Amino acid sequence: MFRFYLKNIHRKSGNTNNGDSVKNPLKKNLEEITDIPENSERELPIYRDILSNELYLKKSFGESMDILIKTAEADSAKLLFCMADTLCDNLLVTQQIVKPLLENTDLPSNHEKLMNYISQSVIAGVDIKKAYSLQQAEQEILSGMFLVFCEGVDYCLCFGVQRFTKRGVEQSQSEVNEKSSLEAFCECFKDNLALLRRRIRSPKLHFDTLEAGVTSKTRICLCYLTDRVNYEILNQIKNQINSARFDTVLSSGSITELIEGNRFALFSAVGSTERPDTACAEMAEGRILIIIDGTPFALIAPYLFSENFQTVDDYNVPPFYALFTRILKYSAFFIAIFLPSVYIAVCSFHHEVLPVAMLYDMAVQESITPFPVLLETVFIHFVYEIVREAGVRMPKSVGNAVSIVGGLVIGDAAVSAGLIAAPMLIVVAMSAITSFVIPKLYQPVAFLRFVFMIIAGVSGFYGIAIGFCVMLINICSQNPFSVPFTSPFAPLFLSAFRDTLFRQNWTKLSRRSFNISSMEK
Amino acid sequence: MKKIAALFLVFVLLFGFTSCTVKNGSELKRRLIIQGIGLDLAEDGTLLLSVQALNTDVSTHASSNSEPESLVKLYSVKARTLSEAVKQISAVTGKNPVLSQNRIVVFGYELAKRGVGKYLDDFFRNDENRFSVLCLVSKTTAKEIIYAGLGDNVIPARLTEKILLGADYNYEITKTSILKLRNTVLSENTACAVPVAELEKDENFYKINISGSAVFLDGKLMLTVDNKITSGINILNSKLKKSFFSVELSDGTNVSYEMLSCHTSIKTDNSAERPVFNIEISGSLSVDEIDSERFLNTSYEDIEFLEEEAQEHIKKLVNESIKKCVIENSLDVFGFSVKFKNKNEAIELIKNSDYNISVNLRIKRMGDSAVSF
Amino acid sequence: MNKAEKISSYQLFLLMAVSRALSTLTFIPQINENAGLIDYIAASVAAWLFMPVVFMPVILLIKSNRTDSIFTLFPKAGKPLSIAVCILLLFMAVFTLSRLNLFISTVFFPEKDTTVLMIITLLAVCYCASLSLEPVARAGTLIFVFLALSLAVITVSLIDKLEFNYITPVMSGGISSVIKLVVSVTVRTVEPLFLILLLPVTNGNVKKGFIIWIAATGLALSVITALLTLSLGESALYQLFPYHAMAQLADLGVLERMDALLTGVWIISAFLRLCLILYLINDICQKTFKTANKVPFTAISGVIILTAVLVSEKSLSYSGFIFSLPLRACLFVIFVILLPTAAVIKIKIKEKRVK
Repeated sequence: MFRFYLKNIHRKSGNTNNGDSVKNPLKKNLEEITDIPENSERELPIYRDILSNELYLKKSFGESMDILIKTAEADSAKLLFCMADTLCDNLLVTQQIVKPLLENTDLPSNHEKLMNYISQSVIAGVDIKKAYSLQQAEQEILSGMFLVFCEGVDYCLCFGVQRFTKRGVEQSQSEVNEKSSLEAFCECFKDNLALLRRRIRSPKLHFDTLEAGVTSKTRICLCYLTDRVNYEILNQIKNQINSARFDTVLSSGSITELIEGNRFALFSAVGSTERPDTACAEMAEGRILIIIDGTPFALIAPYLFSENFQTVDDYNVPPFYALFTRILKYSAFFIAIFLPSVYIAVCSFHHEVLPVAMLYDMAVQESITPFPVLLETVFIHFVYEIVREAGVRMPKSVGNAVSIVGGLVIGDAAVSAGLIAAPMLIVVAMSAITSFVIPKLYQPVAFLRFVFMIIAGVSGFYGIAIGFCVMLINICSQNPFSVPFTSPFAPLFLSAFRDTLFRQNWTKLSRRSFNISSMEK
Repeated sequence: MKKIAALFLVFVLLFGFTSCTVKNGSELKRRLIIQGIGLDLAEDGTLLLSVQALNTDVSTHASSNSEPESLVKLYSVKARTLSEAVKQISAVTGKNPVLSQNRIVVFGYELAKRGVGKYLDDFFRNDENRFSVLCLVSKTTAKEIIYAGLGDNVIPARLTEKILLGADYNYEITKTSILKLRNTVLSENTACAVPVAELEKDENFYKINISGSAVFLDGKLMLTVDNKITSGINILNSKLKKSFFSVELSDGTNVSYEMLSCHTSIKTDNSAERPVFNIEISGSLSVDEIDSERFLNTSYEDIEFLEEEAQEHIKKLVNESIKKCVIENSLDVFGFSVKFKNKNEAIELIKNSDYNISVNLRIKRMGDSAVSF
Repeated sequence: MNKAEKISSYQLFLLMAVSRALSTLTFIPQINENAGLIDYIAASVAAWLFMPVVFMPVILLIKSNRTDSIFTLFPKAGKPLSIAVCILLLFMAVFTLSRLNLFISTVFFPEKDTTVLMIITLLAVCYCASLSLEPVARAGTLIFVFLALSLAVITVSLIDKLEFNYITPVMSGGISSVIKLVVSVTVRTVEPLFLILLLPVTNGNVKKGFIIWIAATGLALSVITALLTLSLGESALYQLFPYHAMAQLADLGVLERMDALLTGVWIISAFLRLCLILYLINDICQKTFKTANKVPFTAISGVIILTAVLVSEKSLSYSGFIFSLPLRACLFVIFVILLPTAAVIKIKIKEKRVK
C-alpha cells in the first residue's frame, strides 16, 4: 500500500524522473560520488544532497525488491523515504508518518526545523533516532526502521515501525517442568528482552547490544544485573564477541564455542536455557545472559557442572523431594554413562561380581548370540541412536510408527532372532531413559557411553577406572571465566552447598543471596 | 603433542573392536560356571577332581525355548594339583572354568585323612577362586556328594551350601570356610571343625545329611565327632546367632528352647599352678514348646527351673566337647592355645588346664502362654 | 608452577591421603617370622604415634618457611638437588606403576599381557599431568569421597566376619619384631615429600592440616590393619596383596565379590599419584632448566617410566629391586628427614644473619 501511495506522491509532486533518462545520469553520478570500493570500513556521512544519498542506497541495496527508496516533496521540501518493506508496518508508516507529513501544508521552511518538527510531531510510542552515516542508515533500514532524509540536512530520522512475521511466545520444548511458568524464549530479540524485563523489574537490569557476523550482523544482547555482575567476565565476553570473525551467526552454537575457549572439554562450560525464569535466576546470581537474535536459547556464562542437575521445579517442590530428584539425576548420569560398559566388563572379565542366578540367566542368553558382548552392545546402542535421531528429525505424523518400529519390532525381533541377548535390551533401555533425565548433558553422555563401552571391552573395570579418572580430571581442569567448573564440590565451597545436592528451604535461601563471583579463583 | 598422544590412544583403543583382547576365552559364552568341586584321592595317589557346573548351553535355533535341558553338568578329571585338574576340565568341556562362583568344596574321607593342606594353595594363589567358600567332608567320597542329584530343578551345590549356612540357626552344624581351614594349617596348634556329610536315598533323589563334624589339625582329619560335640564346639567358639535344642526333664517332660542370642567369653588365669580357663556363656532363650501341662501357668520358680535345666544342658555339651577334643585328643578347636606365648608347650598346657564353665542363660519369652507375674 | 596457580591445604592433604591409602591398600607384606598377628596392629598404632616425631623436621619447615621453594634455599646445590629429587620422583613413579602393573596382572588379568594397558595408562597420565596441578587436586578431593565410601563399605561388610580368636598375645616374638614393623610402616610414608615440594603453592593452615593428616591416616591405617588381621588371620601374611584379599571377603547381600568394584577406586588413586608425580617432575625440570614449557618433560619422564616398568615386569626378580624396603628406607631418610632438616637449619641461619 505504501508503494502505491509513494508512487502517487511522486506523480503529485511532479517528479518527472524518467527511468531511462535517470539511469545513465544515475550511474554516472554514482561513479563520481561513490568511488569508494565496496566493503570499505570508512564511514560515509549522510549527504545534504538527497540525490547522493539515494544513489548510494540504490547502489548498496541493488535491485532488491523489498527495499523501497522513494523521493517526495512535502510543502516544497525534498524528502527521501527508505524502508525494508518486509520488516516494517506499512499501515503505521502510511497513516502515522507519511500521510500527515505530505498532507501538511504548514511545514517549517528551514530544513533543520523541518526535521525537528517531523521528529516531534510523529506519534508517541514510535522509537525515533538519528543516523549520521550512510552505513548506519543501511543498518537501520535492515533493522526495520523507516528512514526520512531531508534535503540540506546531514542526518536522517529513523522511525521504529518494525512489524514482521514471527513465532509467538510458546511452551518450552526442551525444558519441560511441572509447576513452573510455561513461557519460553522465541526468535524475536525484543520479545525475549521483554520476557526478562517483565520478571526483573529493576533498574539494575542492563542490556548491552553487540553485533556479530560480518554478513549477518546478528544482534547479540548481554543481559546482566549491574550490582552483581563481574565486569571482568563481562568485558572478556564482549572482547571475544567483538573480535570474532564469523561470516554469519545464525544460532547459538558458534557463540558458545567462541566464548567457551576449551576445545577439548567434554562438558560445555557455557549453559543454555529456553526459559526466561531460569535465565532471570541465573542473572540474579551474577551471571551474564547472552541472547542472540533469531535463537530461542539464551546462553549463560559462567556455568557450573552441578547446574546441569538443577531444574526450576526443584524450587517449587518441598526440599526433601528436591533432594530426592537431584540424587536421582546424579545417579541417572552415572547409570547412563557406565551401565553398558559395566555390563560389558562383567560379561567379559569380571564374572564374579554378579550373583549366580543373574549370571546363569545372562550366560544362557549370551550363549545364543553370535557376537562378542562388546560388538553386540555397540551395535544395539548404535541402532538406538539411529532410531532416536530419526525420531527427532522425522515429521510428527509418522512419529508413532517409528516408535513402534524402533522399540518393539527392532528390539523384540533382534532378541527373537538371537542377534542380541534379552538383558542387553534392558541395559539399552535403562541407559537411554536415564540419559533423558538430564537432557542438558545428552550429547556428552551419549559420546562417553560409547567411549566407555570400548574401553570396557578392552580392559574391563581397570579401563573404566582409568577412563573415569581422565574424564574427571578433564572436567576439573575447566575454569570458565576463572570460576572452577566443578564448584562447589571441588574446590569445596560450603556456602554454595545449600543449593547443590540438596536445596535449603526458602527461608534460609532467601536470607543470603549467592553470587557466582564468590567462587572465583 | 597432545594430538599425537590422542591419536595413538584412539589407535590402541580400536583394538577393542577386533575383540582380540578377549581372545583368551573370557567371554561368558566360553566359560564354564562351576558351582561345586570335590577332591578325592585317586587309586594312583593323584587327585581326583569332580566338578559340578551350570549347564548354560542352549540350542542355537531361534525358535528354541532358550532353556537348557538340565541345570548342571558333571565332570571328573585326575591331576597332581588342583589348578592342573581345573585346567584339564577345559580340555574335556571346551570351556574355560570360572571358579569365582564356586559354592562348596567337598573333601573325600580318605583324602581328608591323608591331608588337604597342600591342595589349599590354589584358593589363595588364584584370585578368581574364592577362599571364603564353605567346605565339608564326605563320609565316603567327594564325587558321590558332587554327583548326587538332590531334586528336580535344583542345583545341588547351592542346596548343599544353604544347608551349611543353616549353621546360623542350628548349632549342630558347623560352618567352615577354606580360609579358616588354611589358617589352622598355618598356625600349627589350632584345629578346626569341618562338617561331615553323608547321602541318604530319598525316593528318586538323594538327601544330604550333616552327621557331625571332622576335626582337622594341620590340614589332616584327626577326629570325627557327632552333632552333640559339634554343638559344644559352636557354643564355645561363639559362632551361634540362633539355635534350638530340646531338654528332657527328669519327669519325662520335653522342653524345646530357642536360643535367641549366645555369647561366650574365655578368660585365662595364669596365676595358679595350672592355667585356668574361665568360660562364661551368656545368652537369652525363648521357650517354644513344653509337652506337659505342668508349666501351663508358669511362675517365676518355673522359669528359674527351666533356665537351670537349659544351662545344665549347655554346660554338659561344652564339657563333653572340651573333654573329647582337647583332653582326649589334644585338638584345640576352641582357640585356647593362641592365648599362650609359648607355642610349643601350648597343647600340653591346655590339656592340663582347669576349665570353669559358667552358663547364664535367661528366658526372655515364654511364647503366648500365661505367666503369673 | 604458575605463580597464579595455588591449591588449598585441604586439597593437598586429601591428595596425600589418597596416595597414602593407595600405599596401604597395595602393601606387600615383608614376612616377619617372629611377629604375631596382633603385632601388626600394635605396630600400626605405634607407627601412628611415632610419625609426629619422625616428621618433626617437616613440621618445623612448615612453620618457618611458607613461600620459598626448597631448591631456592640452596642456591649452589639447587640444580643437583632438583635433579636428585626428580630422580627420586621418577623412582616413585616407577614403583607405583610397577606395583599397579603387578596388581592388575595378578588380580584382573592373570592370563593377559598388560603392556598395552600400561601404555594406555601412561598416555592418560601424561595428558592429565599436563593439565596442571589444580585439576589433579580437585579430582583428588572427589576421589577421596569414593575412597572413603569404599573403605566404609568394606568395614561394614566385614564386621560379622571378624574372628577374635586370631588375637595372639602382643609382642610374642619380642619387642624387636614390633620395632621392625614400626620402621617398615614409617618408611613407606613418603607423602610428606609432596608436601615439601608443594608448600610454596599451598594456601591455608598447612601445619594444622598436616597434623590432622598424620592423625587421620594413622587411625585409618590402624583400623584397616585390625580389620585385615581379624578377618584373614595368618593367611594375611602370605598374600601378595592382603588388603585386596580382605576386600574379597566383603559382600553386600547378593553382591558376593565386590573387590572388582572396590579396587577400581584403588586404581584411580594410583592414577592420581602418578599424575601428581609427573606434574612435579615437569615443574621442577622446567624451573631448573628454565625451558618455559618448551620441553615436554612430562612426556620424557613418561617414556622413562614406561621403559623401566616394561623392563622390570619381565621377571619378578627385577621388581624385587624396586620394591626392596632397605632402598626405600634410605630414600625416605634422605629426602623426608634429612632434606627438610637441612632446609630448616638453613632458614634459621639465614634468619640469624638477617638479625
